[in-house]
Amino acid sequence: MILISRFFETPFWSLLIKEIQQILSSKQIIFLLIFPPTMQLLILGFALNPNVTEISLGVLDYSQSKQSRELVSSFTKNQIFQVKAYSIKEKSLVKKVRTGQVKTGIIIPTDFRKKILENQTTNVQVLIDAVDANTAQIAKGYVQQIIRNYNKEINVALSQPLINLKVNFLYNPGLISSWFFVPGVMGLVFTLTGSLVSSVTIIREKDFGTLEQLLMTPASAWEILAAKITPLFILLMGDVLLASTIAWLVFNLPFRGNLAWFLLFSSFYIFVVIGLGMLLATISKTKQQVVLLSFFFNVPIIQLSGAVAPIESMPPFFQLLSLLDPMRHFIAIARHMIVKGSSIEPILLNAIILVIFASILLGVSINRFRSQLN
Amino acid sequence: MPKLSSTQNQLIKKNTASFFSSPILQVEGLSKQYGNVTAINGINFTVGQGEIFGLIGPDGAGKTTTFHILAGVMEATSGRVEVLGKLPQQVQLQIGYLTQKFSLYSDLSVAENIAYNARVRRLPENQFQPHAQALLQQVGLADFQNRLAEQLSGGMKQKLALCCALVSQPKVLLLDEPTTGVDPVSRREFWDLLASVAAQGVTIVTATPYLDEAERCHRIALIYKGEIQQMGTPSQLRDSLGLARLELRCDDVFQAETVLTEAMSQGETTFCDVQSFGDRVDVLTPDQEIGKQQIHQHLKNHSIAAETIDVNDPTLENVFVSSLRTSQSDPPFIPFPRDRYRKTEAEIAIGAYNLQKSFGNFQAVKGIDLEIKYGEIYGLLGANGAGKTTMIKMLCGLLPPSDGEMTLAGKTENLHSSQIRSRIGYMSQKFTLYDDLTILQNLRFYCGVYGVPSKLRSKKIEWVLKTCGLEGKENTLTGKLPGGWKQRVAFGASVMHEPEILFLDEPTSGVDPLGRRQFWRLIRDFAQQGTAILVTTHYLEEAENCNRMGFMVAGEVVAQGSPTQIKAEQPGQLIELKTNHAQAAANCLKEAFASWRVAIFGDAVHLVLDNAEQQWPQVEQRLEQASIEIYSHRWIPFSLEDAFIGIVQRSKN
Amino acid sequence: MIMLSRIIAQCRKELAQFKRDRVTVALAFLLPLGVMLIYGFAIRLEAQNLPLSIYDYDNSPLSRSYAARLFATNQFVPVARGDSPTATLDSGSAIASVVIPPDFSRQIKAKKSVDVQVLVDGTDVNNARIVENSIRATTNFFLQSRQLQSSQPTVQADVRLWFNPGGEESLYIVPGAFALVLWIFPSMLSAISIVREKELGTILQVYASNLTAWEWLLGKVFAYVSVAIGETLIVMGVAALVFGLRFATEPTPLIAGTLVYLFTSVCFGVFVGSRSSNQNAAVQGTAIAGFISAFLLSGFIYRTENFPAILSLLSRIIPARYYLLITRDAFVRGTGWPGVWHAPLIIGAIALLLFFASSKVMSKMRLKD
Repeated sequence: MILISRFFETPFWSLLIKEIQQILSSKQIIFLLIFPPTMQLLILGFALNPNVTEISLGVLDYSQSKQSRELVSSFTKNQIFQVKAYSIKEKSLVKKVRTGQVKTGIIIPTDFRKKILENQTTNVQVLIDAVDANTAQIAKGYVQQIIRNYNKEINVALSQPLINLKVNFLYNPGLISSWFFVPGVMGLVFTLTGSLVSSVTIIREKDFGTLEQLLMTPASAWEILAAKITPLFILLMGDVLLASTIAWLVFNLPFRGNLAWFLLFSSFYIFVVIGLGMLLATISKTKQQVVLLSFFFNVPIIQLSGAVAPIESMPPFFQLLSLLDPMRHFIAIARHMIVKGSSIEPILLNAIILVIFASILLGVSINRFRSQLN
Repeated sequence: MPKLSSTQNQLIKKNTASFFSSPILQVEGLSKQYGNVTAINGINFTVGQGEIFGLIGPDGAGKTTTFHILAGVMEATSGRVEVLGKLPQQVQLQIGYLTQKFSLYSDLSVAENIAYNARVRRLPENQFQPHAQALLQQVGLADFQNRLAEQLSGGMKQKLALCCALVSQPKVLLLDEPTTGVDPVSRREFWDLLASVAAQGVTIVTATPYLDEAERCHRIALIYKGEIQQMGTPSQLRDSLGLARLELRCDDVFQAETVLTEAMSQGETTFCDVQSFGDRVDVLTPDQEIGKQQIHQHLKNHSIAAETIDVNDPTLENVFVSSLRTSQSDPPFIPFPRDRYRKTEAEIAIGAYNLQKSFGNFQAVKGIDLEIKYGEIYGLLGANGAGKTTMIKMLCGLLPPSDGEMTLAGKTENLHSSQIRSRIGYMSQKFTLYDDLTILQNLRFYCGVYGVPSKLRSKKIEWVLKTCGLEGKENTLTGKLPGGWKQRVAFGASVMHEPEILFLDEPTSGVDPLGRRQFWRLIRDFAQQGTAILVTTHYLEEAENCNRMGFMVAGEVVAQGSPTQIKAEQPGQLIELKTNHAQAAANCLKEAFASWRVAIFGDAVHLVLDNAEQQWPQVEQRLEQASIEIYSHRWIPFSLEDAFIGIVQRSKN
Repeated sequence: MIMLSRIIAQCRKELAQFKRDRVTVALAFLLPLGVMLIYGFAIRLEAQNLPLSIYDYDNSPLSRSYAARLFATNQFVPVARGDSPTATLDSGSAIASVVIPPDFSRQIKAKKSVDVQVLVDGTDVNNARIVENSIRATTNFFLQSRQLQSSQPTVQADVRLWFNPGGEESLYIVPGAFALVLWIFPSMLSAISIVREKELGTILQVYASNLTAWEWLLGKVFAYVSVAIGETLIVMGVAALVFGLRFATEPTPLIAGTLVYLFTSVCFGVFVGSRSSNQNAAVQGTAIAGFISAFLLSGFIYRTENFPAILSLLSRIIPARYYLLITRDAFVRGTGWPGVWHAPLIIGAIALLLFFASSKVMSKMRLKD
């Protein structure tokens, strides 16, 4: 009891209360902690969808037969393609693809029906707008698969291949895209919000120059810093819970792993972003520089993390570089803990790396902060 | 002999009264409301051509709002404002406006700042450049054209801001507290500039919270709570008081003040006011002889020996205080609730011996010796860049010295330990309280962080609130308080843990005169109880409150002693000259004497002579040659500011 | 009454201030470049080098050649087998496991159908689909090449990829990155410059100087548009050198579109600056909002067609979306004015809207009560 009441008389306790009161009185910080994360999570969670569907299709059907119409309808069957225009001249179809009015065009030759009935090979021309190389590749894959299936329909001999693939999707059998993207977006949200809120809190004290006054009180530099970090940490952990709740309720993410472990690992990452925010605040002289510098750090961190583009596809150098990206490790942890949920062994290394990052960033920024105090 | 321009010649023929014949600026029934708050409440005044008109009042009196409206950057709620016969917005090109401290772009150079101001006012390049050069020459910035504004000292910044305002040759100049944070030497130079600008026919309206500056205006209006309390020339206002000021010097100032205040409140005397300073007590009384007798009598009753009693004019501060007293009562003096009792011992609280500090090749502090005892109020004064800030930082343990010895609260080592810091109080001019916390939250925070035992906290906080008159408002956000109020709360916050040593860095900026008196009374009370106090200030009228003071110039203490000692040790004499044209007289005298010796105060010229007996005929002769008529001249005592400027200038040479 | 000379004076002052802060100048030019390079190099959406483990319980020449066929494209890289097919996926060391049963070659030689099990890690949805398609296509190809297919398919697709036959993703990503960086950085710089005047109080001098809101804002807009032009030249120049970007058509739509786009971006910054009073975080928050909108809602990476209805509407007012059409047309598609004439008009309309909105906020050029 005496120890507790003594604790309430330490400078640390007063500093902590002060920080909390300041944060509570600042509507701006509360707003930053709640509104942007929620919006980002909702918008990105719904918007990020790599599925390529409803690709616009222009049709030039010289055959005008039952068979050709069957082929076209097999294109549109699963909403993968959507017929936007029927042309009667090759020129107008080409123009439509060229100006981007349709992304794909299919030209069915006059002798299509005849060749099929005679069991001869016939060629169907497919034009794909490859400005978006990735979509084009995927569309090409679809075209080939659709043609393959069409062949199976018209030719029974093909319907029983010798190798029968049985594909099982583990962890996310429905291939729901938000299950993949939402954990990545969570990482993005924590990075942006965390570094923003902590740099704002630190630079505010620098701006007002109240630090000088603090230094003349009996509080030690450690107490000042610990009192700054503690409420930030608590609030950002609140954001972790907020984001997790949205992920669970809105996106129905399965959260298969042990929740306690997940929160513990998230807390490591929160320390990383606090360290990052403090570092930004200590190395910049003006607000202008804080804003620009935060981009300097945040853009590569987000890009190399695998939240938006797969790490496996990056050139080898960038894959190596991404190992230095703390967000990559957090996302690996989040995806594992939320979607897979097997033991924590596979991501233990990621967690250790986060701890190392947190200690380095906090160590450097605390040191810089302290030397600025003196 | 200086040639006088035609405007100047015209002006020579005018006296103060003739300012009204050509009103440049007319304000009638001006009011401004922010929501429920009345910032200004029906003020009226008129300013004539070439006049320097001062708006004098504390923070939050409505000065800045008035300026915003005069400059056409804010709309009035009601009332009429005419500048040059038109609405301010229609004549903005004729108005130069200097805001408190934000007139310049700090990341632009001197030349770029001026050019920007000229160009947005549509001045042709070939027209403003020569004029700008002449202005920069005049203020001594011509050699620093490429220096960034942020690298200039406070005084130079304000001179540059003035140049920016003057480059478009405005007819009206609005200056909102132009000298805040500027040291006395630069302030005097700045005011000299203003006087010469006014002499060229520019109408100037200026604001200042400091009454020694008010002396330099032609006319002043005392503004308080959005209303003009009094208006007139400084001497008119002083005369209107109809009182004499008796300066009593004695050994025990505190005791004398207590006795005389007691006698006054009992109605046993004719005194109107009793106020103590560092080494004297001022008594205001209608009749000086009766007053003297009464002082002697009461001191004798309490066996206090009076050394001398001098008779003097009342100061503008006396005018202001008595004017304020009609609208507001004195803030209460409540003794601080003490829980530790300390004996007043003649021990050294702060000691510095050959203290030095260098930054690279630059020697900021060059071997200073200083001793401040418990119970003593010591003032550290100096121009910007004299090394004051470095000195304070070393003395309070924030900055380790490069060389020399120090003692602080009896310790010589590890001066920044938290144990020592808990025995020290520190308050700086701006950075003390958190604007985004309420008053109560701030006070609780400082109680906690200084480790005031929980059971004593409410008592201390109550004391601060009562002293500041903020009871019932403790949940207001601190940022919403006017600067002066904030300063008082900050002072309270820095003494709640009963420090043995108190550092006050410009504690009273923006505090109104009544508040300032209370402030100093509290400071003296702490000193009485044995606290050692180190104060800095740019305002020398206030430095009179110190027991001892040191003047710093270029890293050295060049003079040290009590206020009376310092003034008495000042060589030479100060003469006040009244002539038919102050500016012309000053210009003429500056040709013969160093320019710091000549200063214009309203319609009078102050001149410092080393040997008045010998030099006076020479002065008369020169003025006569310049066909300037001397109405009167008299020897006046040096103010602390005069002494300061003399000391600084002499040690520079 | 707007005076050109005052706009120029304001503009000159802004540029003088801008070039004073070396750090900001450096960041203003290096950041867009860095961001563009990172995107150009690091974003590859096409799945490559996916770790695949094969559990070949048959281990016959046929099964080995089937496995080798799977790795013949650069889509998969082999990884060592773990304890079991599922364990390999659990530990995350492989993204898919192919299990070849012991009777694989026996059954095929007997012309009987054999089941091959494929386990795919569904965590990464995108990859999972690609893995499935790819294994199916390869298997088909394997059967055909070994003449194990009973007959030839009748219909054959003759697929032609236009504009970018090599399928180089940088051709798609880099012009998109232009839209991103030329949105974020000019708007951020101009927003800061306005908020700073408010914070430092120098805006009072502006109010007192008889400048009109138009003159003041236009001065700032011109200054930051010229900075942005500098950024554009650097970013596009370096992109041409590093990624071999070339004009696919005459450059006038790009030049016109870029100027309008930069103007819009600066106006957006001015708008944010004039609305937010003094908050650092407001600007920073907007920078993030701008980043996200230009990055994700513009169709830079993910197709706008997939957005839910509300977001799809939202993406229609995002200038970056229209500027993307212009840059991709200029560097890849090459239709010129006929294909993109509407884009600069829409962007310009948004710019005017933003500018009028901000001049309305500032119109009084007076302090608010």
